[in-house]
Amino acid sequence: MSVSPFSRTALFVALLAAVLAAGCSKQVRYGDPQAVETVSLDFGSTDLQTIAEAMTRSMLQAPVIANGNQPIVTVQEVRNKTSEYIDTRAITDSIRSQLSRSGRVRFAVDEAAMQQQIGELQRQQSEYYERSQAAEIGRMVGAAYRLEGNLVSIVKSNKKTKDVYYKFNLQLWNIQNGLLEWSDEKEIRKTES
Amino acid sequence: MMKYPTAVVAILFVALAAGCTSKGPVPPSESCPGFQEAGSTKQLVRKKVQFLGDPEVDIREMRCVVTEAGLLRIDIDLENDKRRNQQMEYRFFWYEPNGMSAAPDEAWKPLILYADERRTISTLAPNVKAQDFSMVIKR
Repeated sequence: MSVSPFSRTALFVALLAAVLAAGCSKQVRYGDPQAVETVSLDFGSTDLQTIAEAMTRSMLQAPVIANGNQPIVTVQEVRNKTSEYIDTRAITDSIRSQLSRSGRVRFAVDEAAMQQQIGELQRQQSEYYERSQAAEIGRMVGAAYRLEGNLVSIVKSNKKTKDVYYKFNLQLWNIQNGLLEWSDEKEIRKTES
Repeated sequence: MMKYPTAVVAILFVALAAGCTSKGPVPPSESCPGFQEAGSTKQLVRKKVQFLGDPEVDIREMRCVVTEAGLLRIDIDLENDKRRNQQMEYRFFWYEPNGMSAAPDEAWKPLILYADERRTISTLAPNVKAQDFSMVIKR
């Protein structure tokens, strides 16, 4: 059972390739989603979480929320006025989740979800649904307040340093009378050098 | 004729005595949950605050108040007694009176304390069930 020199070389090359492949493969591990993330200066998870928490806690102290009987709010747009692509919907979704968990606020269907809401209402009016249990058209509840805001950034850099300043502003407007009931902002500065 | 001044002196004496026996200003930490068991601000800090990675920061005072909406509001005075800036992270945990967790984990928040700086961190409970708290400060 002699092994030919060719086979021995092929075996050696295969082993070497396997060792190299194992050495080059990246290790995957789970991380802490709440950890402070400083991979780059771009808007990141820590910024999103910090803004959402600050805005929620501030809004819970607003008289219309603190003294109100679970006022109904609808979420409108937070305009991204930065030069980055930032999904501001992710920020307002977090704020909405935290406010919902507080039990102090109820949310009405917003503009973005309206089409789906109408679609479902119309579907339930079809002949496929039990008439007595189907959701009725014309029973939706309108919001008393609307949330809207802006996210702006100022970016400055020189040869050694790059500085990003974010300012997130959120406002709660009374839909009936147009009064601004609450507003607050959160600032974040990040520097890379 | 002497009756009137005697009465005034007696009232003054009683008032002064009452002033001396009063407890004086209530320590702010006393308003925080767990103070009765802890007995002092120092013990309360030991009970409520966990330090990870040995951040060189002191907690000088805690103040707690329940807002009209029934939410626990907390102020914590931090002091960097070093002659250099320190970067750290912190977060709060919230508990119901029975010790059950009252909210999902908060995100870690970055904090810079400048040399010799004393800073107050303010926070508000996420809901009315959260009536107790703990804090973690990480270097």
